[in-house]
Amino acid sequence: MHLDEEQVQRLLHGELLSGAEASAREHLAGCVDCRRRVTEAEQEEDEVYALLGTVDDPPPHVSAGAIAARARAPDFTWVRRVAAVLLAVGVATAAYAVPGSPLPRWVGAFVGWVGGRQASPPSARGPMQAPEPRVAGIAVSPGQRLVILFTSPQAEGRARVSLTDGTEVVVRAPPGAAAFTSGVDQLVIDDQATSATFEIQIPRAAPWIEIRVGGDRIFLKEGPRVTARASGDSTGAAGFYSLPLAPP
Amino acid sequence: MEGRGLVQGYGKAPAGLRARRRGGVRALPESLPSFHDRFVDLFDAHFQRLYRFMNRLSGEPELAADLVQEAFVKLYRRGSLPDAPEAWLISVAMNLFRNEKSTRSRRLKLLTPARSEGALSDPPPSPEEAVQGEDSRRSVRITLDRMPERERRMLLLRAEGYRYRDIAAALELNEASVGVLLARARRAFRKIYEDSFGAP
Repeated sequence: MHLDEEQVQRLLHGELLSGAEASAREHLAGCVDCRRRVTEAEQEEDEVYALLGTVDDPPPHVSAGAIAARARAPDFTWVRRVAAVLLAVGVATAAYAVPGSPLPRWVGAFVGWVGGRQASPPSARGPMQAPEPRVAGIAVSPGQRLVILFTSPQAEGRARVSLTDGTEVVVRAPPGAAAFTSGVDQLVIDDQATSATFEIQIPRAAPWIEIRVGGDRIFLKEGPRVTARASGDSTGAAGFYSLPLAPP
Repeated sequence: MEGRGLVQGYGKAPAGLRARRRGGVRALPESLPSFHDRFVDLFDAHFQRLYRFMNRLSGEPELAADLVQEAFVKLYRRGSLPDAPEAWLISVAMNLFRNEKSTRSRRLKLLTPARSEGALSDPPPSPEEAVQGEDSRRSVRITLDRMPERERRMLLLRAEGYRYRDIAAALELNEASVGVLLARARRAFRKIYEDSFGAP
């Protein structure tokens, strides 16, 4: 009976028990086929190992003493992990506390969403969201000349202009009613054709202020002199004007 | 070497293990090699071949050096040798390699980044030899990468002379079939190599 594959390999590698090895060698002495198989396996192994040797790199010079010293050194892995967690918590807290940070709103929306109290997506207003301001607006310096330009006429909207003792032109509107863009000598109010009322405060000391709706002038202040579009309740009394934003 | 002078060494330990029975009382061994001494012997016997195995497996010499050192550091911190230290070291090194492959986020500092002086003392290869060597190296690397994982590991472990019991323990195989699986791994390597690059 011939040697099986396992026996051939174990014979080659010296992994047979002594009794089994003696039997295998006795068989090999009289079996040409098995001798050939062992020889072929040995040659194949030599060839493969020679190829494997081509990818070798010289080992680093490291001593057991150096490894032992390194092993005995304090292991700060857990300290680094704790420090990383503390740092992450600190950064998150700071981000949460910064005025204007959207994080509280996101957290609130997420908590509400997870808790099933609110089915809206996280981007929606959550229970911890700060109340929206009731007005939006902008304040700019009047400079020597300033044009306040409404981009679109409004059928129902009005501009309530008052002269103040302040130093800045202040425009207020309901949230979402308009977008404000401040440029050189110009304040553009993109009113998106809504029907909103705009509160405009103009310093009495401003030398030249004009309010236009599209291409139409509805208000002009030159020094102390004020010219406003005629309107039923545009009195001009006590420096107050209520101007329609509708087309003339 | 650190601590080696305390005893004669692990290989000569039986001289210190003479246990005698006198009047029913068993004498304690006169001296046992300390864990440190046994670790040093194990390190000296296995560091280089474990490095060669990991280098062939990973194809990254620096990474292999890091992982093998880390495996020995873990063994030292363990404070005692496992039943099969060689298989234990192989398993730890391979686990570290698996983690490294999945995260690629950790790089240990080499204790001695300098490469072996042996490479410097060898005569430099001629340009033709260098080109041929690099081609051969690349071909073998590609062949190894194309082999099934288990067969690659088996082949590389046996190429470093690891015993069947250690290979079986490290790769969680039945020791009785290691020979057959090794022959299969060797044939797989040769077939892939010859199919891709011709006869060696």
